[in-house]
Amino acid sequence: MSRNYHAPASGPACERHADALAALVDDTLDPRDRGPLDEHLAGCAACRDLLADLREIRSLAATLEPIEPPARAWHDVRRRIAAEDQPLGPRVEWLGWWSFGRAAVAAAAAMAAAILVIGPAYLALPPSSDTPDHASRAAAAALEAIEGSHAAAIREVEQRIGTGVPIPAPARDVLTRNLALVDDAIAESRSAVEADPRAAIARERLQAGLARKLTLLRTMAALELEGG
Amino acid sequence: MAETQVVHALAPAAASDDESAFEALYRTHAKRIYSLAYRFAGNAAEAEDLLQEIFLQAYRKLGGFRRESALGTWLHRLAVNRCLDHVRSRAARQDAVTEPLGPDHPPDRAGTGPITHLDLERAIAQLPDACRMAFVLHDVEGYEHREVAKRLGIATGTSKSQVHKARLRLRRLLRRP
Ligand SMILES: [Zn+2]
Repeated sequence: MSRNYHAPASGPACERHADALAALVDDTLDPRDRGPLDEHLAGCAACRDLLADLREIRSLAATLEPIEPPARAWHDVRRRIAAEDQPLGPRVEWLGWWSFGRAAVAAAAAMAAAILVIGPAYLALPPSSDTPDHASRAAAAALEAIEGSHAAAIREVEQRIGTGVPIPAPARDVLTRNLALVDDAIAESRSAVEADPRAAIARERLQAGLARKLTLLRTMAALELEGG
Repeated sequence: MAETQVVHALAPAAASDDESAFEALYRTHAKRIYSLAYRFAGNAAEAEDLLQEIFLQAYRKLGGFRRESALGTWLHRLAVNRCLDHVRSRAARQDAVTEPLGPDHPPDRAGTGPITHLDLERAIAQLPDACRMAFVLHDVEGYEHREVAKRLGIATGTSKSQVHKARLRLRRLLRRP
């Protein structure tokens, strides 16, 4: 900040150029008004100092760092959301995938409960009476029926990811963590369908896994699109 | 993976699917919104309250979000409105019991070195509400005067003069001893 601050820019000529000087700091000065202001600045040290100081303030302001909120803030938000979630009813239409996500959650939760009830008995697959060839064709058809409906959508979103503004690390980590979980679940249910194409639970679980994967990929694409 | 592990892996993910999308939204935008709230309110406690309220409000309003407006822009607009309401209602409460703002505090900047970001943060907190909000939106957040005027419900010329007034005032607050 200038040492000449105490020589205030307050002569009548300075007053006349005050608006132009403010506009110059804003980068909105009409080029036609630039000449007269420059003339004044050439002969007025006080206004030159004022201009330099105001520009310094503006440039410092533009480079202020974002301030990190306390970590507890997210936990408080989550707690408050949980406390009032019931009476809210379903939210729809958040990029279309918000509601899609909720449906997948409901399906997967119902399924998880079913698996818990059925327990290990589910893994004890009944002996198949099919011939090996027939069984593998049945498995392929079952997988095609389930995966075909999601494959194109997943491929399409995957192609978009990485083309936008990179997602900041904390958000990206949450999403990548969930994606890895979902991929594990998909792989697991896929082998279950291959082992027994008739097992409804395995098919539903694969279906829900793919739906959740699509939700997460769309989240990533949407966050990239709007660039934080 | 054994069946029980599958259930355990699936269940927590299922319970938090919706939440993880919202958490990702929070992680992406919380810092910028907290900074805005901090600079509008001038202190950490009110900024934290504002941050929470803004995300709660966002959560409630997500149904009203339209695809054509980018999510970040929508969220930031919601945040500016909430911060603006907060500062205005705080001013209304204070006006009822206190004197109008007096002259600037004496500069509390130590030393004669270059002005730091911290010096500037402290000085911003001392600005009168109206010019502080215009200054934060224009010089810190990078809004055009036209947008500042729209957000604050003032004329474009008023935005220009408020921002200029803020810079002049900051210059006085930041002057070397
Ligand atoms: Zn002058």
